[in-house]
Amino acid sequence: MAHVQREAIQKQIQQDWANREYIEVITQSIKKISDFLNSFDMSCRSRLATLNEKLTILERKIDYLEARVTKGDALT
Amino acid sequence: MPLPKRQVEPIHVSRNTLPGDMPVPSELEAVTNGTLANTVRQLSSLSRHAEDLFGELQKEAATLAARATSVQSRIDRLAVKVTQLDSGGEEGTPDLLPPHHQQKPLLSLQDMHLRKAFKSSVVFDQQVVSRDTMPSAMLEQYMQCDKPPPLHKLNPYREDGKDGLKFYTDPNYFFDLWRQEMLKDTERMMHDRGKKPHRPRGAEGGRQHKKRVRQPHNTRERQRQVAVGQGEYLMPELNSYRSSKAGSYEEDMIDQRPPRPSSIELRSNYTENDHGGGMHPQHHMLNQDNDPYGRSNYQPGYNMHTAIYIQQQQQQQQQQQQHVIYGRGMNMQDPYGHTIDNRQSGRSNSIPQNGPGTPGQRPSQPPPAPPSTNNSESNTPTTLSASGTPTRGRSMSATRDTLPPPPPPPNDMVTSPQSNGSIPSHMRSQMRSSMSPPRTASPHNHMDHDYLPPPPPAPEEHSAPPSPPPAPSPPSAAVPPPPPPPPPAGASETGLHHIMANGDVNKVILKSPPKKAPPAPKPVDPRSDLLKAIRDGITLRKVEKSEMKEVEKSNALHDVASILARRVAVEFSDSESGSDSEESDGWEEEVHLSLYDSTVRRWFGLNILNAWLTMNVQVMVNCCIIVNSATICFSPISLTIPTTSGQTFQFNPNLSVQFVAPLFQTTTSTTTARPNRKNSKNPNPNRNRVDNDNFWVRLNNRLLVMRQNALLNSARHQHNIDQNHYGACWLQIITVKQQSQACRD
Repeated sequence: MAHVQREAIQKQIQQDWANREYIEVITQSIKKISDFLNSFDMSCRSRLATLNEKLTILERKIDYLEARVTKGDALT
Repeated sequence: MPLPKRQVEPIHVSRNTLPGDMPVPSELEAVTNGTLANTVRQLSSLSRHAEDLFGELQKEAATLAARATSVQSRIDRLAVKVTQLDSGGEEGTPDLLPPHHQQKPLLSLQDMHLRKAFKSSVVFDQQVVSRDTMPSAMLEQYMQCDKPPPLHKLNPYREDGKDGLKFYTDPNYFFDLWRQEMLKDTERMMHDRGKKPHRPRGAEGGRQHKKRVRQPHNTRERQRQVAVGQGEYLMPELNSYRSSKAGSYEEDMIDQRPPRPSSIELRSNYTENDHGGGMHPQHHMLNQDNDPYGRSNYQPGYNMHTAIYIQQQQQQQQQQQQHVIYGRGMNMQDPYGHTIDNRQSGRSNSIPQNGPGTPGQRPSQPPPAPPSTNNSESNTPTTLSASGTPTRGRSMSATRDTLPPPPPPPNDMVTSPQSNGSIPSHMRSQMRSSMSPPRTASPHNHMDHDYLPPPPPAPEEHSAPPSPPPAPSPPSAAVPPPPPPPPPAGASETGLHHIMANGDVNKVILKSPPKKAPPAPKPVDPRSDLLKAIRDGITLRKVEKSEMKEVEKSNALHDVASILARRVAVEFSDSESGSDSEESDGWEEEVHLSLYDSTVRRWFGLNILNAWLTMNVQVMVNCCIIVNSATICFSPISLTIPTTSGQTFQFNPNLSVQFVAPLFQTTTSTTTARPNRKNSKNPNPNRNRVDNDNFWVRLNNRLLVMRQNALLNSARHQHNIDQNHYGACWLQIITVKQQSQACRD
C-alpha cells in the first residue's frame, strides 16, 4: 500500500519536474527573444544613426552647393 | 539604480501561483499552471514591448527615408542646375557661348566667386530630451517613479521668497549654470578682443594653454579632483554638496566659486510650475488633483495662457511680490534700481583683480527679476542671470535674503531721482556701502536711504568719477557693464542683473574706487550729462557699445541656440587672439552634481538640458561611458571620438554615445567657406581647431553638444588614466537641424 502511494508521489514529482523543464524551456526562449530584440534594436539604431549622420553631411553639402549655384536672391 | 527602459512583466513567474483561499487537489499542478500563465503574460508583455520597439525603429526609419528622398530630389535639381552653369564665364567670354545657353538664367562661374561668403544658418533644435520626445516606454517608467515631496507647500512660510522644492530638485539648474558661463565667456572674449585688438599671437598661444592642466579654484574642488583621481566614484561628492548646503554658511561665503545660477528663486516657479504655486492657494486648489510637480509642471507645452493666468493671480498678491514680478519695467526708474545698477557696475569693474571666481559673483537677491513675460522656449528662468548656487542662495538667505523683497517705490518717488539726477543717490549708496562691512548691508537698508529725495549737490557730482564706470569693465565680467541704460532699452537688462548686484558689491567697491578714475562716470541720466559725455568721447562710445550689447544680449539670451550661436560668432571673429586659454578657463568649473534623485528626475523631467554621464576614460582616446544611474534610461547611443575616426564603444547594451565632431570644428569647417576667395583654399584658421571641451554627440539621432568638465579634460591631457579612472562629463543637449542657406545680405 505504502509502496503504491510512494509510486504515485514519485510519479507526481516526476511529472512536476517535466513541467518545470517545459516552463524552463519557454522562459529561456523568452529570454532569447528579448536578447534578440535588444541586439536588433541596438544594431538598427546604430545603423540608423550612421545613416542619419551621412544624411546630415550630405544635406549640408547640398546646402552649400545650392547656395553657390544659385543666382541672386532666389534661393532655390 | 538603473532604470530599464522596458521591463517584461511579471518578473517572478512562479510566485504566488498557489491560490491560498481554496484547496487544490494537486498543488504541484496548480503551481505549474500558474507559472505557465505567468509565462504567457510575460510573452504578451514582451510582444507589447517588441511592438513598441519596432514602432520606434520604424518611425525613425521613416523620417530618414523622407530626408533621403528630399536630399535625392535636391541633388537632382542641383545636377540640372550645374549643367546649366556658364562655363564660359570663367574665361570672361560669355559672348562666345552658344545662344541656347545664353537664354537661360545662367550664373557665370566668375560671379560665383565674387559673391558674398556662404553663411550657413543652422537651426538649433532645442529641448530634445523633453517630455515630448520621451519614448513611451520611458514615460511609462517615469510614471512609476515617486514624486518629489510636496515641498512647495511650504513656500508661503518661506521668508526669502525661494521655492522650497528647488532645494530638493531643480531641473533648470544646469541650464542656468551653463547659460551663465557661456554668457560670461562670450562677454569676456568680446571684451578682451576690444581691449587688445593687436595682441600679438604670442609664443605661448593656444597650444600651451590647451595642454595646461586646469587647477581647481577652491579647496573643495581640489579635494574632489584628488579623490576622483584615486579612482573614487563621484557620487559621494553629492553628499558633501548636500552637507555643505545644510552646513557651514561661513565656508560657503568664503570659498570662491564661479557663479551659480540661483535657480531656487520662487519666481521661476511661477513661470514654469503651473501647479507649484504654494503662494497661490486658489490656483493650487484648482490643480491639486494633478501631480503637483513631476507630471504636469514640466510639461513642455507650457503655454502663454497659463503664464498670464498666473500673472493675474500674482497681481492679487502683496505689493512686494508685484514689485518683484513686474519689476522689470520698473527697475529702470526707481532709485533702488539705480543703486543696484551702479553698484553692480562697480563690481564688474573690480573683477579683474579678483579673477573669475570672485566673491563678486554672489548669490541672488530676494527681488527676483520677472520672467513671467518671458515665454522662453526652455521654460527656464532665463531672464535672470542670477548667480549663486542653491547652496549659496540658501546661505545668503541666512544673512540678507531673509528680508522681504522691497516694496515698490511710490510713484512720485520714481520720478524724483531722475529729475534731480540720480548720481547723488548712487553715490550715497556707494559711500554707505563702502563704510558698512561687506556682509551686513541689507537691501532694505539701501532702499530706505534711496527713498529720500536725493539732493543734487555739486560736489557730489564732481566726486562721481571715482565711481566705477561701465566702460572699462573687465574681461571676466559676468555681466556686461550696464551703464544706466536709457529707460526703454536697458530696462530689461537692469532687471536682469538686479539680482546679481547685491552680492559682494560692497567689498568690491571698497577696492575699486581708488583704482578707477575714468572721467565719465556712467552718466545716470545720459541726456543731462551729454556735454560731459561728449567731452569724454571715448567713454561715450564705449557706453553706447555696451548698451547695444545689452540690447542684443537681452534679446538673445534665453535659449541655448542663441547663446551658442553668439559664442560661435565671437569665436570666429576672435580667431586671431589667443582665446583658447580664456575659453578653457571659462569652462573650468567645479561641476556640481546635484542630488542623485534630482538627477534622475532631471532626466525624466521636462527641461532636460543637461545631464550627467559618468565616463570611464580608458586610454587617452578611448572613452567609454559607464551608465550612471541617471543615464540608463537613454536608449542606445554609441560613443565615438572624432580624432580616432569614429570608433564606437559600447558598454552597456543600453547605452553608448557617439561623438560626432568637436563643436566648433563642425560649425566652421563644413558650413562656412569663402567663395569670394578663389579656389577657396579656406584660410580659415579655425578650421581644424578642436575644441577640447565640446563635442557634438549624436544621441538618438540627434546632435548633442557634449561638454566635458575639467576633470576629464585634464585627465586626457595627462595621459595617465587607468581604467578605473572616472571622469565626468555632462551632456548639453542641443540638436541641430541642418537648414543652411546662403546668406546674401
